[in-house]
Amino acid sequence: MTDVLTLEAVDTDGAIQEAADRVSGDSRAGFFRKGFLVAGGTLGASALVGAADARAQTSTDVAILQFAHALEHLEAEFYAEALRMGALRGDVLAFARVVAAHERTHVKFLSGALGSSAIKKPRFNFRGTTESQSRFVATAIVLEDTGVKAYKGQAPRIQTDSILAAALSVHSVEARHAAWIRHIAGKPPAPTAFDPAASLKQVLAAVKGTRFLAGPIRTVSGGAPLFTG
Amino acid sequence: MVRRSSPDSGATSKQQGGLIVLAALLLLVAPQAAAGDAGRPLLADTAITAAPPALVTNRRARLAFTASHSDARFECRINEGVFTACRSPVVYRKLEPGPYRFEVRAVSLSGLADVIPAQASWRVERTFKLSAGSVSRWAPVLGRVVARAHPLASSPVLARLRPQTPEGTTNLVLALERFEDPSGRLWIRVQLPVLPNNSTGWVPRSALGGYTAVGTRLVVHRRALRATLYRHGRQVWRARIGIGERRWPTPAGEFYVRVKLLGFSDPFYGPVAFGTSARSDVLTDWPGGGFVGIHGTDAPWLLPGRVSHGCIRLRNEDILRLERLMPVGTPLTIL
Repeated sequence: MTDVLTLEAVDTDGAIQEAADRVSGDSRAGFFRKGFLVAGGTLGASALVGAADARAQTSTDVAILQFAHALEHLEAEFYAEALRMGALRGDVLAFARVVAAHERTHVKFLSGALGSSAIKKPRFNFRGTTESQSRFVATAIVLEDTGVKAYKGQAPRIQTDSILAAALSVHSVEARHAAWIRHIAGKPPAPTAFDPAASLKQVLAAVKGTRFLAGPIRTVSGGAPLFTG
Repeated sequence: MVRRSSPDSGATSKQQGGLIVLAALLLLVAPQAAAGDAGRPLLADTAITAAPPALVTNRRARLAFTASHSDARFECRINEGVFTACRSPVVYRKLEPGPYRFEVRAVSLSGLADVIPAQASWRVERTFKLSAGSVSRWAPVLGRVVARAHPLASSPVLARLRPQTPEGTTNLVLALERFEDPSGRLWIRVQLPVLPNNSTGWVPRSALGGYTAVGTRLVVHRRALRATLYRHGRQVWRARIGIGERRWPTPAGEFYVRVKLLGFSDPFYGPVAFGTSARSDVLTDWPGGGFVGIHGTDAPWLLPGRVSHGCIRLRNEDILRLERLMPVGTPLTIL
């Protein structure tokens, strides 16, 4: 696996595309009325606690949070499954344990912030990347780098100060994760003096390129039984 | 027939050179010791006829062997241990991951042991259990794929899996364990919905979708005519059942629930039917392949009893309650 993701794959579930569409302006009217409420007890960082009192003033802010929520679901489930699959050891295992907790907290924070507008967790197929240490490391680098670029790309578009503060506090943690896993992999933790931002389209393409978003599984049918009876 | 060592095993010939020299010296110096009065060699020749392949994930190993003298006895050892009396076949269980070398030598009636023991070598690779304890995992089959006897592309094909069930739903397999081969390719051992029942096979990880974990297990006791559903080891549902008549027995073994049918119009099956991976050993030409279902009934007065063609029948109130408690992918044990 390389750091370069292909752009040809399809988001069969549509969750990321849906969130991206909202960021692009196709938001539901309900977002305006809902506001920005954070469930109590889910926040650990003081910066996020500060955001708990905020109210989303624009549909763009809510849509950006939804997009972030979808990405955080992806990261949180990736680390959670990697821990369940028992393939990690040493420094990589220690990294996964810490980052899994962080990503889980990010998901909780955004779920609480978005309330009924939160993105439902998509169905994932991590295609074996959680079941092999080498594949896990390569994929974690891609996901963390993508997360850093995604937050950086959307930050200038956030219109509410408290939401911007919360987003930046997540962004810096994602950057620490990216540096940490790069160090473990023997890659330069901070390869350049300036980090490029990624546009929504670029982030979407990167996420699609992983092909981690699985389509629906049909396990229930209304057809006549063919069993022996 | 494998002579001296299995051709597909990783047998080593270390020490063999020295032993061959020793045997040659023995034949030269004491020819009378190497041949009996009737011209039969005093030393029996030993051969291994069955051994594990060079790389296995199975912790059980079965080795069979024979000798050129039908009245010879055998002595075996594993990993340079002490030779002890043994009989063919020898079965080792619960082998830890690592290399193994098995040696066997025939001992003729004269008491002389074959100076060059037959040997077989193999390696038990470590696997990771995907379904263990009260948690099991299933995954959808993404496309047509063959299941193999071992996690090797050259291994014999055991079954061909399709992405859909006969009912048109996504085909599921219960994921049992994972193995990463030396090239980094991931293999998953899955429970197969094929005859013979209880078959398992290895498929590439790439042939399967994401895992879904379930904490439930349905246990069917045929003798007691009873089914019990457990969730994380605790009983959450229990009912008396109907099972197959003696001529169409409900098969025993380890299976899983792979489809749920709702809203169909046939009252014979009641309001809900689950399809399982179990198949009738007798009604193999049944439409759909003779899969065993778990379903309701329009004749509740027959239950409990041996009344079906192999399916597990429940009273409608029992199957409706089970429908709320048992997700697709639940392992099924039929005792």
